[in-house]
Amino acid sequence: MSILMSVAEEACPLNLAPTASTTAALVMGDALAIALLEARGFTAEDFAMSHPAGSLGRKLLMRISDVMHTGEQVPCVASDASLSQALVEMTRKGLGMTAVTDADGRLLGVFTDGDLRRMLDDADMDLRDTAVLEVMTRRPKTIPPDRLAVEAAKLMEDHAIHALLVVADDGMLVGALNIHDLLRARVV
Amino acid sequence: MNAQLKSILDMPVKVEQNQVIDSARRVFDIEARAIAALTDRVDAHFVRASQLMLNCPGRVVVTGMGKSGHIGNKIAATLASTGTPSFFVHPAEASHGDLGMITDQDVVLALSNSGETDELLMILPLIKRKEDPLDRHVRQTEFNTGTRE
Repeated sequence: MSILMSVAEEACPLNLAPTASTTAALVMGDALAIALLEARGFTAEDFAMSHPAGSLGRKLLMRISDVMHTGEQVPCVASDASLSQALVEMTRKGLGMTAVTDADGRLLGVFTDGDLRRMLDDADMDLRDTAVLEVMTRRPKTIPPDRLAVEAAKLMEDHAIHALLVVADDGMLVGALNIHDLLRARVV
Repeated sequence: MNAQLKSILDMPVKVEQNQVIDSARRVFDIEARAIAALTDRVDAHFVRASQLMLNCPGRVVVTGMGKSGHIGNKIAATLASTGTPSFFVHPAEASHGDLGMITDQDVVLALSNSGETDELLMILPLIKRKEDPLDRHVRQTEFNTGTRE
């Protein structure tokens, strides 16, 4: 089978050097490739699979589970912890917040640097004699581990927050990340 | 005036400014018309070639000599990055063992300006002997017999 193409003339004044004809062949090749791409329903994510080194690939392939902190690195206190215990945990883990979980590891809430600053405004509040359960934010913004890292960036931007807790479908806390983790992974 | 620009202007053989600009514009014009003319070339053959490549269980093997080889390399790269697994085989190397890279699962896309490239003519019968669904598409431009406008 042949796809015959003819060009009226080459750009070369001697009509010898392949110029217009190679350009035409290049364009015909693009036409074939794009016709096939559309016939296959090829997506941007498919494209990224063969371009992992590019910034597009990084944005489309990097998942939360690739950039999040796990295990001992996740700031987390039990629901009966005092506020001062929570502050020690926040300082130790360095993500600017701590999760509060029940005995099974299910997320109950979050307490952040911002929450602490806002508490200082309240003269009646005794930092030493407060349970973290009383002052934490319930139902904080979370993200599942299988979502794209760029989605975390979008969520942080939309809600003007710096960190996110990663929660699995069953409500279990599985990780944590902050804006620095996304910067390190060059997702933003 | 910076030193580099001055040294360029001081070179012994001067370009005629209008002439080089005219040359460039003529090239754009000729090549743009060559691309525009492809609209009429997208016919039943193009459809069949697309169908063949879409249903190809193996790879699209692109081959071509000289400038067609350079273009073929780029076409293979574009196909591969847009969902059609593809690689380039040099026709001269094909005759020295690289034919073994091509299987009866593949589609071969052979580019030739003249349609008479010796290195391609030598390997195409051997490729065809590998049986269906293998096929070839020879892109043949007729520039050497084309009439000037």
